[in-house]
Amino acid sequence: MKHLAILVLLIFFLPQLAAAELEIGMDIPLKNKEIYQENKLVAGVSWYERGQVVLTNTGDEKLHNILVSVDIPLGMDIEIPLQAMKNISADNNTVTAMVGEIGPRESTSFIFSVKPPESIEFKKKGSFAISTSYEDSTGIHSASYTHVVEVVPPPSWITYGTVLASIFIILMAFLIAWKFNVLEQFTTIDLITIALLAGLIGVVFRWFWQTFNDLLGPLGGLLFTIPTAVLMVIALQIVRKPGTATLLFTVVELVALVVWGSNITVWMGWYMTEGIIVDILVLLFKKDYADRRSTAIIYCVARSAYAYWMFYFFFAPAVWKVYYAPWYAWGEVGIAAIGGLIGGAIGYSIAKKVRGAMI
Amino acid sequence: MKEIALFIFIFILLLVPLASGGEWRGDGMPLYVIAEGSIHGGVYVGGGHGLTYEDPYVEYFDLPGNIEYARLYVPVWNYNEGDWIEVSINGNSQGKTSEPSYVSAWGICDYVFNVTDELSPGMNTVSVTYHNTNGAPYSIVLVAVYNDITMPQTRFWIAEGNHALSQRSKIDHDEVIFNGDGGDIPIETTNATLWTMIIAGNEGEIDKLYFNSNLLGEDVGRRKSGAYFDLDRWDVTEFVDTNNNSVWFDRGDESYIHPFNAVFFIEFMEDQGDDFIEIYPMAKSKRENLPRVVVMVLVISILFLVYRVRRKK
Repeated sequence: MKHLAILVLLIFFLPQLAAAELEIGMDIPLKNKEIYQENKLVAGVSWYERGQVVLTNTGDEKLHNILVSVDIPLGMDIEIPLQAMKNISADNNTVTAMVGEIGPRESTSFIFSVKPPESIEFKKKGSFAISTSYEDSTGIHSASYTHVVEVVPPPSWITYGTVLASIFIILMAFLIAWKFNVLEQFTTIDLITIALLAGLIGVVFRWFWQTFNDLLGPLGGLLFTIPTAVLMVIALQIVRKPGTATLLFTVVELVALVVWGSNITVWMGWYMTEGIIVDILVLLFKKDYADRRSTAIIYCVARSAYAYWMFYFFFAPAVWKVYYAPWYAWGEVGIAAIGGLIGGAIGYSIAKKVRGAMI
Repeated sequence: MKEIALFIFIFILLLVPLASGGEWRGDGMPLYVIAEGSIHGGVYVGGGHGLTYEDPYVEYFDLPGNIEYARLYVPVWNYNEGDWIEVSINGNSQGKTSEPSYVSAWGICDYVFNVTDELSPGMNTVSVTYHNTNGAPYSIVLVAVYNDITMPQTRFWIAEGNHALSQRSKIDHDEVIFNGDGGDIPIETTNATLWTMIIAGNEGEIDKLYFNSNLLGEDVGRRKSGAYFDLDRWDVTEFVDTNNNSVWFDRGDESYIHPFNAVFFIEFMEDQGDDFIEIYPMAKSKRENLPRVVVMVLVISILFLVYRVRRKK
């Protein structure tokens, strides 16, 4: 009896089940997924982010009179960009699209733009509720789909916090330098050496990297991380004073500011941390100024990975409001670490010879 | 010591020939008028939608009929030798183009196409595929002059370029003058419209835009039309001069900003002579290969190295 009831139900619902063949999908933001993180919107950006609804007829029958409505979350403003599909409108918080028909195994799509909220206190989820109705030979059907995105707070107030932290780092660096007479330990010749090595990093190799990084494709960053690592090891071995790396990378950024017009004044503290990390490692290794190949490699890997991590996970979201796809960002950090490894190994050999020739 | 000298020598040898493909592309091309004229009809300006790294990058244009003259602009980030783009209009490939029309700064470039004969009335789809390892299109923008004898006569000017206004090179403004040929603009006009396209503006870094010394807006370049892309329409009817009209892009606080286009058109209440379209030759960007500062730092570093080595001896 029980099996008979199931059979009757199956016979009754089978045509309906077979007809439910409209698959709904959505992409937002409409950006290259190999670089940018999917389903993440940043509050407070000045532009509209595009979203795309993709409708696929997975059945063998043509679908007609397809009506799609998308409920936009969080009261985001809506714009409808010019596109091939017409009959798309936006009303309050809903995007409505009327699609004539979709043939079997065919897809169609439409785009809309939303402006993420100006400000939210904490990151929150938002749901794009998509509902459709459509017809086939068996009658009218409906389908729905919910696409969840994460809206992260505008980096503006995160930015203010990070600027304050940056200033704090600078003040701390000055305080430590003053307290322990760090700068007085550097001779004139040390300072000239650091300035010139910083010039080579910030001007010559930065230009070299900007010029030829495309030749190596995704490995282009190596053109900067390797020479930077080499020159850092040379600086450590020749100058041999606590604070050398911090001073070196501070001067690198100052040089970049003057020569290339990089707008980094308020971030200077964070850029200094590249050097601070190396100087801390030098102290941890009992004042080993990259005197062994192993320590040279450790310092360079740490600096390179940290610098790239800062770029992709700190500066990009906080300053440029861009969230890179995690695998891409970690891939770049990994490549930077490899650059540090190569640069540290080469740098150790070169630095030894340079030191032998100079001192 | 010999090894170090050899290392430096090889490095310089490597650097010198490579420098001919230098990445700092100079200050680019100040805006200049590429076409002007009078037509019974209008000027269509449209496009979008910011740096998204989509490939293909697609934009749609809903056009009137009778296009008399049309230029398509594809600004691209991070141009380097060997890069190319391929534009398709309504599915018809225009072929691969490897040489951009204007390049400046760190490879911000503009590929410009004359597409007068490629467009159709109604919806046009323009897609761009590209080879550019770390770059992508900022936008696709179309400027099209169309004929419609039922419409009033419109005087228009289309200016293009790619001028790197930058703190680095201390270039603070760009000005383009729409020459009225000795007062051929009547005092009474119905509508005067200015379109501007700016690349690489930043929100909060205050730039300024003036029309005939009248401030049209502040922080115009703030990525409002998409990432690093601003396409704006301004009603400048009340500011029109009967002779020359000027647009002034002021860098202000922006570290870098690139004016790319200024399109100005005035709708006349009465015809002012015959219709005409005059197209001027395209100008070439000046290129700067190896920045002097790079050479200077390199030379000073080598001199210092030599000094320290000799001092030891």
